[in-house]
Amino acid sequence: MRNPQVEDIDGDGIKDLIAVANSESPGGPTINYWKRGADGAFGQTNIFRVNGQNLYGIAVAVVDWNEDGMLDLIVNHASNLKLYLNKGSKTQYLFNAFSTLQADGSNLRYDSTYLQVFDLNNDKKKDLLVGVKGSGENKIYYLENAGTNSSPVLKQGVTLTTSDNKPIKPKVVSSIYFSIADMNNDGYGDIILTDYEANGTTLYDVVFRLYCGQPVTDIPGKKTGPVAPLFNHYWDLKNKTLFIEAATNKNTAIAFQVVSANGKIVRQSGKQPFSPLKRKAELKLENLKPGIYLVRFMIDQKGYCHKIALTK
Amino acid sequence: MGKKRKIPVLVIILSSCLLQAQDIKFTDSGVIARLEKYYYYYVSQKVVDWNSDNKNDIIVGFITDPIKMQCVENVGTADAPVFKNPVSIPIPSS
Repeated sequence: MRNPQVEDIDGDGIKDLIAVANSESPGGPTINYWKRGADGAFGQTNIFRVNGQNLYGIAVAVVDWNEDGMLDLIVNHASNLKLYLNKGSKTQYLFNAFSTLQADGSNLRYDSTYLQVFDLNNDKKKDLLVGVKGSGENKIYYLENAGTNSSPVLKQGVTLTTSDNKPIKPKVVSSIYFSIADMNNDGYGDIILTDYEANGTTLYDVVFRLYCGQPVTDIPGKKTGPVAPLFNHYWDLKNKTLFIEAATNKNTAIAFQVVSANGKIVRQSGKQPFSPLKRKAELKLENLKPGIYLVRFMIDQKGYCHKIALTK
Repeated sequence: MGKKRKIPVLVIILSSCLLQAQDIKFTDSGVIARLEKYYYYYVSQKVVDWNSDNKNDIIVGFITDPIKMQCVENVGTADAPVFKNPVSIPIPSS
């Protein structure tokens, strides 16, 4: 099975499973689903139907595209991105017809193996991400929604890149599979990408690579300016603990100091591990007098400082 | 008079996303699967809170088996996930 999706397709409050079938029937792979019961068990294999006919495609995204409370389907079939709006109900879907998704007024044609709808630029509107396969051309395209959530209007796709403007793509040459979610709870979308490593045998290690999202001055795919690390701090008053969060690109360690207004170091943490998936460090501040302090730390060979006010 | 300290200025820019890379490790094997060439081309995944514990898990789909799906559970926290090795999701064959 490919392209697993998890959504409540029958409105019973329990997440069901949707996926693209492996088998190549004459019309191509079908879009299958399995309803899940209250006991967690899955029912029989079903195929989505449109006007009584099996629904075919090599990629699917299940999403309420027009915000009418019902789940719709975006399917890649024969390189066309087809939108099937649900005309049924929350408990029983009904798909009659499709429209081809457009960007800047033109039909979208991508040889895509993966689709995901996600608000990548944090503007509270759903965007579309498309994984496109091709010899040496595996890429993720980001199509920003310039419309609204209930009536999305997509802009032309731009290649999703890393901070040094290299396209995000796996070594794999004939497919690209990814998933986007906020993996480290920092409010920014992160990407998991399937890739592989040779391990010296005839077998290959399948690995997941994580690309952590960070705040930038521009949208992905466009040239960006200098990027400042995210810094945030907050208190746990009950435990008199200061937490700091900062963005980093690699596995590292940080120590931080709390400095009083007259320049005296009043608290100091030991080195704490830091990585794109663990971006928080803590320091106990009990018995510290109320006042203004500076928090200092080094990360990625740069020093940072932030003023905090400690109150009773 | 003490020496005047030079303090680096931190600018916080909050706008959009930038992407950096690292590998996701699993608690035991470190890899999601070991497969023959061409089969590894089609390992797909979806991040979702599968077990409703408010943490991201990963559902994995394989082309090697028509009904094979696995769940990789996050046994860490929401902001610092730690992934167990995959376990099969029992889907009926028909």
